[in-house]
Amino acid sequence: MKLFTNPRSDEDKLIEGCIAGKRDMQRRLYDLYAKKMMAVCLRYAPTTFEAEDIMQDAFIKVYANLQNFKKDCPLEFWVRKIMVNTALKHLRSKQLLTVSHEAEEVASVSSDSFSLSGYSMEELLGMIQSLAPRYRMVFNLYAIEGYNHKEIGEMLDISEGTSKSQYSRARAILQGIITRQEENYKKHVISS
Amino acid sequence: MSSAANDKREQLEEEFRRRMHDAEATPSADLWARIDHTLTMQENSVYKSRMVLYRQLAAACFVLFVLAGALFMYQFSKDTNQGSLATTGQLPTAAAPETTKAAPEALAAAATKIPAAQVPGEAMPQAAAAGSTRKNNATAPVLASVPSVSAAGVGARTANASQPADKAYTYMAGLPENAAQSGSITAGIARSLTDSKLRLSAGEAGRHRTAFASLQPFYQTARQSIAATPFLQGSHHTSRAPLGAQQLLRNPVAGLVAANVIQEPGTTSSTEGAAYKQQQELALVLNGKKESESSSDSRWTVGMAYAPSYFEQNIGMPDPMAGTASMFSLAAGAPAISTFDAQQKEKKQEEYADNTDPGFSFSFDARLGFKLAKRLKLLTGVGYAQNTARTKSNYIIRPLLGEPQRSERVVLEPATAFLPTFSNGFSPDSMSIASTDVYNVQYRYRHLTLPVGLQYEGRLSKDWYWYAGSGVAANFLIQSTIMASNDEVSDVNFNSGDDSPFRKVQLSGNVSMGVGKRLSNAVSVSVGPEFRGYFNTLLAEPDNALAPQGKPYTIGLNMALNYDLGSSR
Repeated sequence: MKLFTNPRSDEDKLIEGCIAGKRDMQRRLYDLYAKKMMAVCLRYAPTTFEAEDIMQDAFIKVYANLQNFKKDCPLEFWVRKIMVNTALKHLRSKQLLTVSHEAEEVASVSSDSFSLSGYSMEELLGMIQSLAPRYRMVFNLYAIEGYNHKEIGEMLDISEGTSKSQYSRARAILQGIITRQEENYKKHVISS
Repeated sequence: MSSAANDKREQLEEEFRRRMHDAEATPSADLWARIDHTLTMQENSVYKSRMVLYRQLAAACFVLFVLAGALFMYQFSKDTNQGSLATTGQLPTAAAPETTKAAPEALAAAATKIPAAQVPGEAMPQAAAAGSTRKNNATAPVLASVPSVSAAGVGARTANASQPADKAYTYMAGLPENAAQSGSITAGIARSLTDSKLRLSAGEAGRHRTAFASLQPFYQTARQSIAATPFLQGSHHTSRAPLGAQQLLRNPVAGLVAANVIQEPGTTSSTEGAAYKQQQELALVLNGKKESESSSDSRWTVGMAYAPSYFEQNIGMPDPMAGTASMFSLAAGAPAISTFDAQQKEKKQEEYADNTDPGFSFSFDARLGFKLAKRLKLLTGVGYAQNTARTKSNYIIRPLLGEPQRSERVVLEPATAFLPTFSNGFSPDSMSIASTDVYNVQYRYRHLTLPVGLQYEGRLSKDWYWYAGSGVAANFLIQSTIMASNDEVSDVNFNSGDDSPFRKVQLSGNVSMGVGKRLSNAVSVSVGPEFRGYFNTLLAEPDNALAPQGKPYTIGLNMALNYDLGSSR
């Protein structure tokens, strides 16, 4: 009788089962990461429908390439990277990553005492999805995934400077949205 | 993935990262059903492709089975014919004494160049006596030997025949004119001598074979002998005995026919005529059957072909600044490279294009041919092909994988510029391209081939001919290997059972033409250029590769050695 189970061993069994094409194991892998990966896809896709398309393609690729997973990084990280790459490819195929030069005049908002605690996850997601595709990509890759501008530039075929400027615009847009929502909230409270 | 130390992250970034990085969202309930459906469709397509492969293998096995069966049947019928001929040569034991009556006289006359007329018919008993006693006559050694030869011709029935037979061969080899005059000695006699358990030494046997080989051109079939014989044309009364010996010497079967005729010297002309007709019919049937078998046998040829060739693998390289590739793609997707490395990468790919040279490629076929018409031949068989290309490189690519959580980079296995195009797996974040000493990279593909084709031959002169051929082949990939002479770069090897990016089965078409020379009735050689084009790309899924993929081809020199199974006898 096993006194404890080795989580790594369970993951290995899961991987082996998926490679062998066992549908129950593939379902288990899907159940394990579906929610987190759906959130990732939602951040990159403009709509839920497209996010599910991306996620479907990405999971198919996960199953097809799992045999090449060398276990030199966490499986979740590997799956997440496939989601991100699939999302980038998806948006590139739809020509959504063309550079947009229209400058949006936004006020620079100080973020010294910045807090998002009053916003739900859906509200934050809505803010991100409201960004133009290129801004959304740069913001996701930099602010949430943790890439630096040099890496983002190489991933999106743009220069590091362009990545920086696009990020600052995306950031300003988000700050503007947040500022407007806060002002609207204050007006609503005062009027009520 | 890593964060840049120089990039200042403010509160907004940290807030978004904290709230969003590990956020969860529930996908729609039918998403798994869609994934399940897609997986099922993929499995079905894989199953179908495997079924196609198995069908091709089954078809190939069937073809080989039929060919092997045909070859076996051919060999079996050949052995049966030889066995029946040998058996037939030993059957008429009772006729031998009478037959040998005529043989000594004929051969003695031929040996001493005495016209047959000088040997009176009444002398036959004496000659026979000399043949049987082998002592008294001055030509006793020669004459004594002759009956043994004759006896051997019909089965070598005498127990003491070994020594005279030896002498007789020596004697006859030295008298080609006489042999021509009295009829040629057949290979059947030689076989019969062998069958009669004559104990010849190896040296003697070799000498006799040489002697008989020199007499082979004088061989005639029994039908020809009978038809040309004056005896059988009505003038047999004056030359019956010599002709009987001739018949015996020419062909065991014809000899039997003639011997049976000779057995009845006292019969009336009408009886002889009837007997002659019967014997002639028998001879015609026997020889006709043999000729028809011979002509059908000559339809089959076996051979082998060797073709060194130039091989163009036609594998495209991805664009240096291609974006992130699909994870499903064979090509590495969107590796991040610095400006310096981008220049290096462009150089590397230019180098690949410039320095890709054909290696030593060759194919080897074992062929079986069947003549559909006089000059048209169907060829099939089994072959082995090894196609090789090579490049010289002085760059090493080191793919890098970053992890933002730990701000670390993992260096993957070094590769040549060619290898990442086959990386069917995880895409690196970036890559480092470093210059190094020049090293060789060799790409080798080994195939088992099952060809089938047609070849037309035209005559140029007596011995020379030209040919033009075309065909198709199924090429089963046995092994594909990419080898680098640099120790830092790993070799890549895919065996037939491995999950390889290369196509498992390729169909190819080939055309060739050239000239050939007949070295003998059975053996010929040919040489000529050959073009072989593959109908598919080397990569199994070219649509998923970043760069367009071409179809490989070879241009080589085909050298073949053919052996005509029917002409050898």
